[in-house]
Amino acid sequence: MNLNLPMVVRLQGTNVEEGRKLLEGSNLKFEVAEGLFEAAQKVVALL
Amino acid sequence: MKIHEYQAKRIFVEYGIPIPDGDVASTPEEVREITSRIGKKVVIKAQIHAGGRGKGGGVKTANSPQEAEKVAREIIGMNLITHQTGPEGKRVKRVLVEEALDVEKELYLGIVIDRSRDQEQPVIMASEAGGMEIEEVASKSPEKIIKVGANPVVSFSSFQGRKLAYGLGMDKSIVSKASKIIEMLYRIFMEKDATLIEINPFVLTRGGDLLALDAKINFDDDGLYRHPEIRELRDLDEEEPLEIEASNTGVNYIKLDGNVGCMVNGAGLAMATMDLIKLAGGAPANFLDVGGGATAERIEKAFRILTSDKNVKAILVNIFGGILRCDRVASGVIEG
Repeated sequence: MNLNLPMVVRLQGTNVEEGRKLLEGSNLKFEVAEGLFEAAQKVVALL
Repeated sequence: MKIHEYQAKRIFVEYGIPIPDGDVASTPEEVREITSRIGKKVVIKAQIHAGGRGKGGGVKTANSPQEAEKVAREIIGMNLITHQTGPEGKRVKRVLVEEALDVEKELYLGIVIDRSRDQEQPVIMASEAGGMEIEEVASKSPEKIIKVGANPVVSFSSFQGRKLAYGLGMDKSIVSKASKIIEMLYRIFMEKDATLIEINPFVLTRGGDLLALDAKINFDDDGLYRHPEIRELRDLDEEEPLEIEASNTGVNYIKLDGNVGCMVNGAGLAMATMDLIKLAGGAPANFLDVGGGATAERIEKAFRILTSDKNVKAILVNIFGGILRCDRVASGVIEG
């Protein structure tokens, strides 16, 4: 996988905390968003 | 799903729609044999799913079996580039060899589903401006296209066929023949769950015969389970490799033109995500629904598919965890 691509992750719902912890514990670089439109705006800003 | 011209013509034959004498070949030797059987001037047509084959050099004529073999050597194996193939082109594996006809008039016949509010039904289109791109006719001289809606409940009526035939400026002597062909096209459209049928050009020969010189049929993928004989016509070499990989993985993936790669669970959320990317000023590179019961492995594969599109400049992962739990998504993302 191309790790150089900027990424925004939005997780909600079942086991959201466990999921976020896993992502934070990895060495992947990404931004986190809570809301749907917020996620879209963040990803467009990364282009 | 799309099929090749020669395959569409076989369906036409089943329904009694006349086509030129000919056969499909995958070697120059076969082309020579078919040409000597036909015994006259032939047209050799590259069989790829894209349109614009003639302009790209994929359609040529030959006067003798020897010449046909020589032309076939040029076409079979060539990388054919048309306005529909993209710059990378398509490799030609087969050609259709057909008798050349003495054409009096080139017409257009087509059926599509018109989704506009006043129609919402299959619409049969006919035009005297055949042989050219119908999109161009529609934008430059829309009055040259005659349209007749065919309500699926009351079905197609022969008066509609006659209306189209007379609209094409046909002589009384051939109107009923034309009307019958149009009716058969409508039957194919309904019985085979097609989404589009086109005959361009639909020709009138100097001898007064009507024939389908070209044939294009697209089918509704969701109707294919009812037509195993049509599913068999699928040519994987003609399809987007990423979409094939996705369908083998059980992921719904459609490649688009933008640069924001999306990975979403659920088709509705995926649609909403694409809308919001647009609203935020971006453009989605794909539609991707990993589905409800996705495993970490499937998510990893989905990631590979989405990142192998070179246009992708940023990724948006949008998951609403339900049956598919967020921690499972996260491990898929990390392993990918």
